[in-house]
Amino acid sequence: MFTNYFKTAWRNLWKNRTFSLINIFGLSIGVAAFLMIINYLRFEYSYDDAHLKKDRIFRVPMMLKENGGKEQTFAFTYPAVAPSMIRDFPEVEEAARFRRVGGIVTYGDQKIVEAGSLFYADASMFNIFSFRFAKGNSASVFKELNDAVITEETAKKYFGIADPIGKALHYNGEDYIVKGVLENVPANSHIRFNILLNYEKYIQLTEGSANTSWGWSDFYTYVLLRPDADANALKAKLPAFAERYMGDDMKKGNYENSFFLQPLKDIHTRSRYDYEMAGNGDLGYLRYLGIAALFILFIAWINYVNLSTAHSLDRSKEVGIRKVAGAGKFQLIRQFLTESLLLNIIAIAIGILIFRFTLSPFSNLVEKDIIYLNITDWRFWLFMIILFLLGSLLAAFYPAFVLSSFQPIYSIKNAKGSPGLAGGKNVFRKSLVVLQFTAAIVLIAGAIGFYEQLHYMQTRDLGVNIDQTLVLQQSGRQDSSIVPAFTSFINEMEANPAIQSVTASTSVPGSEVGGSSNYSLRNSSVDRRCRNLGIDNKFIDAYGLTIVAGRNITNDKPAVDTNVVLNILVNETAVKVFGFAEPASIVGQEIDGSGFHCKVIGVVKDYHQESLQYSFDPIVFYPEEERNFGNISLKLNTNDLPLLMDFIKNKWTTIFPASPYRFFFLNERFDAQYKNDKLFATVLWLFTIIALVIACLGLFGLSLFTISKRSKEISIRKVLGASLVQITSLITKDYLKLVIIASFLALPLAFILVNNWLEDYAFHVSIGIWFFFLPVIIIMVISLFTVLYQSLKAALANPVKNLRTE
Amino acid sequence: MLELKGIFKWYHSGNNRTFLLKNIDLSVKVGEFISVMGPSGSGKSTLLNVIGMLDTFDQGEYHFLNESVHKLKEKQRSILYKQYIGFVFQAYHLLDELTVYENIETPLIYQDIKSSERQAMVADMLDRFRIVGKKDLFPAQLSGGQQQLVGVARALIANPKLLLADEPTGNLNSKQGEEIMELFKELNNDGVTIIQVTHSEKNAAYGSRIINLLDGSIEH
Repeated sequence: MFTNYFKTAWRNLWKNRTFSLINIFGLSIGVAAFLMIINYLRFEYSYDDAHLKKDRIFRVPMMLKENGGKEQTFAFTYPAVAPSMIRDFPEVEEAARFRRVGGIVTYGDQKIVEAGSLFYADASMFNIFSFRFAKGNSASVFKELNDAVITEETAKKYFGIADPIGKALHYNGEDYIVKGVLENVPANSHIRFNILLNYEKYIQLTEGSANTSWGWSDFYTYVLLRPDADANALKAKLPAFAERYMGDDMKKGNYENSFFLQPLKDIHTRSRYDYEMAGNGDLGYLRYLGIAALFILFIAWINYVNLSTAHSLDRSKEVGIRKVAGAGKFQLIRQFLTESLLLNIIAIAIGILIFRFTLSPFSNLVEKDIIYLNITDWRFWLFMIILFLLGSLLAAFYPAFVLSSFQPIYSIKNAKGSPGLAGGKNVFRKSLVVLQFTAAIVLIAGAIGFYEQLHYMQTRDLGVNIDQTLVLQQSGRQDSSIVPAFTSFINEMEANPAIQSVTASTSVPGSEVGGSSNYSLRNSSVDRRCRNLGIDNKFIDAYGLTIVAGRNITNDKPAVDTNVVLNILVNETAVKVFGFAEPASIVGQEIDGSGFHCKVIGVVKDYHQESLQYSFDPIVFYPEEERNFGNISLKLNTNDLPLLMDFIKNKWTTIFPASPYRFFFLNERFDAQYKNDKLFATVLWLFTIIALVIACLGLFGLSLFTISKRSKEISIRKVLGASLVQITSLITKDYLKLVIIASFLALPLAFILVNNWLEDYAFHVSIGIWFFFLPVIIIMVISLFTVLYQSLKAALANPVKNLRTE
Repeated sequence: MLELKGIFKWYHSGNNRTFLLKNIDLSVKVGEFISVMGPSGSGKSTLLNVIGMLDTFDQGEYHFLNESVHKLKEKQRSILYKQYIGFVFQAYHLLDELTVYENIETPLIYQDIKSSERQAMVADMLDRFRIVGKKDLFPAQLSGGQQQLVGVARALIANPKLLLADEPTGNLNSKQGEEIMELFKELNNDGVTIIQVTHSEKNAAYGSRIINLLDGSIEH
């Protein structure tokens, strides 16, 4: 019996090739897009899954809240927290600290800048995390102070094919001996490193403060709880823990310091702490992508239901004959289910093929390694296939049910199906179309909203001039012997007329200001956390910043001698943080911080140091010594950029032979902050368009059907004298009505979604009137064009032809 | 074979009750060949559909081979119908996407008859109607007469006791029509009870009895 079902099913699909193609194509695109997004999300949510003890691993971030001030969050904490927690809490089995450092690592002639990928780490990390050793093992490394562990990739970079074990890497005046090689850090690890150095060495280098400090907060700290430990119970003990070690200080400083336990699995996608390691954070937008994935599949299935139901009317005669031939209702349902199963299986198979073939371009687009996006786990595929089949069955059930309940006599006599079917069931189909449009409008509105935000972020006046700016990066802190070379380089640069200005600073716009310290007003014990930005006296002018009160730094003494008063500038946010209403009133105030007595000599207007996702931070600008400047910013004004670049590079390599030449253009760097946002916008648009294509396919099929059903009506109207426009509008207005109903449903939903989402951005566009009209207009135009072709064809057809056959 | 007693069928249009069938009394004996005649709209097809259990009626009794059809549930009716009745239509109503062979086979599939048995039965039927050579063609590839032949073959495949034919020759030319009528005559001689609806006096003459319908009532 099933062979018979399959045979008829196949012939039916073949006979109605257009319908079948539209149906299969829509469904397979839906399946492919869904798989693509799910795979991508799965990758993002698979971060740190490889660690065997992942459920017991927590990070200890913290929050500082000055009395009456804004709270500040930190992904890292003080170095004394780890040993204290092990000592105080029996449920903590192990704890490890990571201190990120940077600078030049040399091996032989090779000088490589390890920026952000060089860490001092506690040996216990090898017990906490499951990074696998390729050479050596956790017992054989970090026994000596100068031990180093590197990844395979790093080993290749420095030593080529030679055995790295026992080789010495030179960093910051010390030789570190490679004792172990780890397999490369998987792409889905939130911690990324090239070289790990023994933390004990760091304790020695800092004379113990990297083990005991309760004020220096640069240490990513992870704890491993015992298997039977209760994380919530431990969390509850943390306020008392803070009180125990910092109680006096908090009272004196009138601030509150709280520690938290953050599950390892939350770090990559759900971390709302500042100073997060690169690539991690609150990736809330992934949720919206998930919603988009469901919408697409939903639209595809609705298409299926709609097209099949519409088409089923064409088959009412067949149903009648089969019933007369003795078919029972359930036999018919079985037959139609078989048919849709066949169609769905074809669609799913094609969808999986499309997914396979587009995975590579997609992985390029999202810049992820394809092997991480390509899921080979058979259980995943089994689950997906079951999901698709279940969905298909569900989608197939309605048309099958409608078909099988036709009354044989009416359906045989009446090729147009039984009476009542045209009216009542139409409502169901129309509501499905409305739902489909609702989903499409929400997607479009979301995509437009996000695009607007991106555009806004990229075009808004930053308050700082980053154009034509070349930044040269000097690595790390240098000793004072560099000063003559530094001065000579600056002079050489200033002497070139193609370079408008030269300024040096510890940080440049485009990334957060590296350091931060506590500051308090003289005669007050209230600590305020501010970012420290060391600058020279040309910085403010070169970057086009405005002094709103007081004066700029001129020849003020740099921060060297703590006995000399340090003249500083603050930004407007800092003014507010210190509790002054007017910028002018802070000028002349004395402030203590970082061991210096400081005096505010001027106030800088707030500017966007970072992407508009972040709010303004309080910044203290202080005059810094030449040797500590990590960045030299050159404003270029030239028609021959390559020549100028050569000149700069030559001077650099002659003057700083020990420093690799590293540079970037500031506007590009600033823009790079939006990389994730841009990527997301692209992906969202891509899938929105796919969703639209599917929805239009459905609409096209449906209009094709409706018009063929109404051909007689159209012909009669034509004979009675209806014009082309009248007939076209007769048909299209039905669909436009549906779009309008869908808009009323979709826009409030989209409004809530997009607003929620923009909340993640400190500076965001406000949703304007465009938001309510643009998506609707887009959908209307698209659906109009979809329906128009068919309507015109019907309106232009010769009426006699249609009437004669009746 | 069957007996209709006081059958009424109506529908409402506005407040008026319009009768499709009005007080029909009819009894058909095994082996009869009845022709139902009457002008358009007189209720011929409706009567045939009621007899064929494809349509319901609003009042009256219907006894079919000692079963009271008016008391049966839909499912039981369909079992009865599957077993004893075959239908032939004016417009043939073959399934376009099935071959001749498959069209004839369809009723057997719905009766859950085994594949090997089906093969034998369909082969017999093809043979009997001399259409073995056409078995793999689709309806669109056949002439009207040939299509109706397939339609009759399909109606007969399950060995019905009663064959109902709604203007079986209406779409055929006279020669093809004659062939079908000859075939009916043969079937009737073999013991199949036949009720046909027809406009043609000539075709009606093949039957053993003629019933005239006017406005839903039998004219005596």
